[in-house]
Amino acid sequence: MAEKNQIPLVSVFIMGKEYKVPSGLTLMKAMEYAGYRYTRGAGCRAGFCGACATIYRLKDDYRLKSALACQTTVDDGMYLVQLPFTPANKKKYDVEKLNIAHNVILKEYPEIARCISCNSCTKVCPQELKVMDYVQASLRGDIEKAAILSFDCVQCGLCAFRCPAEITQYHVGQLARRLNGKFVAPKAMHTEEAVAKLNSGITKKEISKLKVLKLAEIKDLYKKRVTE
Amino acid sequence: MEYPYYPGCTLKTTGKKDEEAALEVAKLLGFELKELPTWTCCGVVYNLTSDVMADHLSATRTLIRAQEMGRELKTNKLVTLCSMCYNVLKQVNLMYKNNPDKLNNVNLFMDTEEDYLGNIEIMHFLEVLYNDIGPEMIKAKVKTPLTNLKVDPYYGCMLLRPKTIAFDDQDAPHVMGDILSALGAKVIENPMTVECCGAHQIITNKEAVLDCVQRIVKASQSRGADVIVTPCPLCQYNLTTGQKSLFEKGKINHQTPVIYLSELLIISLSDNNQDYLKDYKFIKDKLEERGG
Ligand code: SF4
Ligand code: SF4
Ligand code: SF4
Ligand code: SF4
Ligand code: FES
Repeated sequence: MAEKNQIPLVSVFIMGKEYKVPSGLTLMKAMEYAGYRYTRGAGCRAGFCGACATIYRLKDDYRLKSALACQTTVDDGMYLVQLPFTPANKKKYDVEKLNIAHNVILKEYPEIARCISCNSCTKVCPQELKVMDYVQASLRGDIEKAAILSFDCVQCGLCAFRCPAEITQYHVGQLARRLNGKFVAPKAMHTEEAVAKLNSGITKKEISKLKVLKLAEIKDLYKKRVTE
Repeated sequence: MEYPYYPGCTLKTTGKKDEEAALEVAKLLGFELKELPTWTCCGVVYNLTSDVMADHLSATRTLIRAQEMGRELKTNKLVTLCSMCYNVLKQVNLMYKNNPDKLNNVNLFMDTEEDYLGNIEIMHFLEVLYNDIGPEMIKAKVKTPLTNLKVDPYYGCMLLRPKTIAFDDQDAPHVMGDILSALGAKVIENPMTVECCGAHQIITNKEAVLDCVQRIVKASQSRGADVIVTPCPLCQYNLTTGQKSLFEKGKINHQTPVIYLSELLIISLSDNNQDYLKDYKFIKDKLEERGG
């Protein structure tokens, strides 16, 4: 068979079994190519939801690497497995009732005091966040720093898997960001104004107009809509 | 002169004002404490188990940060304001100096950091004041002499124990007293000055801490101290909260203010109003009362 323009295949080992898949596929596509079907472990397919946490090793490298399966392409000889869920206890708190005392995060997640600064979390983070540093900032009550450093966290859970101190870093970061938003960062006035406008009922008239339209009329309206 | 500076958690939380005062004191004495750009908790206690590496990682990382900053500032010193941090960092550092194989191990393990070379020198703020600046120089910069203020320099244990890390006489330390004398204060000799305040027992065994505090404070009060001065924010915390409990229980009849070293220094070295400091008014009133 003529295979001239065919994309070269690479070997990947999914949970220990070898598959030949076209190079250039993302890990997620490669798994699907190999016959796996996602019911969990995939969400946005765009690097935002954090559902597709994956660990892998390459030949001749002792390091355990990590990736978001939807964002990383296959390499020849990759051994991989997806870890789509991290069991983690999330505290129930009412952010309205919290404050920004230096031990506020420590109270909700006392295990952060167990951090031994091994940096495993930072090394594994597929978002390349300074995870250890945001845990340490949380430990000493530097809420703003913890919030800024953890801002791009997609809650994939990989850091929590690697942590010898059994910390669930992403919940800690989330609390820091909530406290920061509530008590530290300047208020987003435009949001408040927009909410107030909505609450005043400005959309009601338009909605009631729509409600009585026929399907064809709605379709027509949709086609003629003004876009940005 | 610029020194890499490691704050530690306490100086950023309960000891925030002590830090502010210390940074200001440094400036007045012609040096600067430059905070490490990133740092982690020092590890709280030095783990004496001979074969654990994990518990030394926090301190090691800090030593590497100091090495990086030291290259820029052309110094191998790292300054702490907290006796506890001083103790942990210095012991970890010494352990590497005495065990090159352990240093090698930790460097292999921390494969994303540059190698620690083992030659950082850990100094407590007090040591910088005494060795690098000197009581004479400090004396020359005094604006408000602490004349007739009776101060009790309380060392605690973490600066002086074990012997291998002590920078002053273990049984009869004089460094803090000499500095306080330079400020014009009357230094009291308290035989309990190197007794432990109970340290982290405050969390699990408060009674034990109260016991320690009672002995220390009674000795201080019976010698007429106006204030107790400490080089350690944890001692300060224990002695302050301990006295409050003891007072409520009727075990002492008054509470002596416990002041972190930098607060007394700034009051003496600067004319500016320092009323952000918790005992500023107390000291000013005392000085007036004593005709200082
Ligand atoms: S911080 Fe943790 S949960 Fe967040 S993206 Fe990084 S590894 Fe994932
Ligand atoms: S993995 Fe855990 S113990 Fe290690 S640095 Fe991160 S939070 Fe600390
Ligand atoms: S020993 Fe205490 S003060 Fe020093 S860094 Fe660790 S927690 Fe902070
Ligand atoms: S006096 Fe207390 S806090 Fe200070 S060094 Fe000793 S035990 Fe530690
Ligand atoms: S599927 Fe959402 S981040 Fe990969």
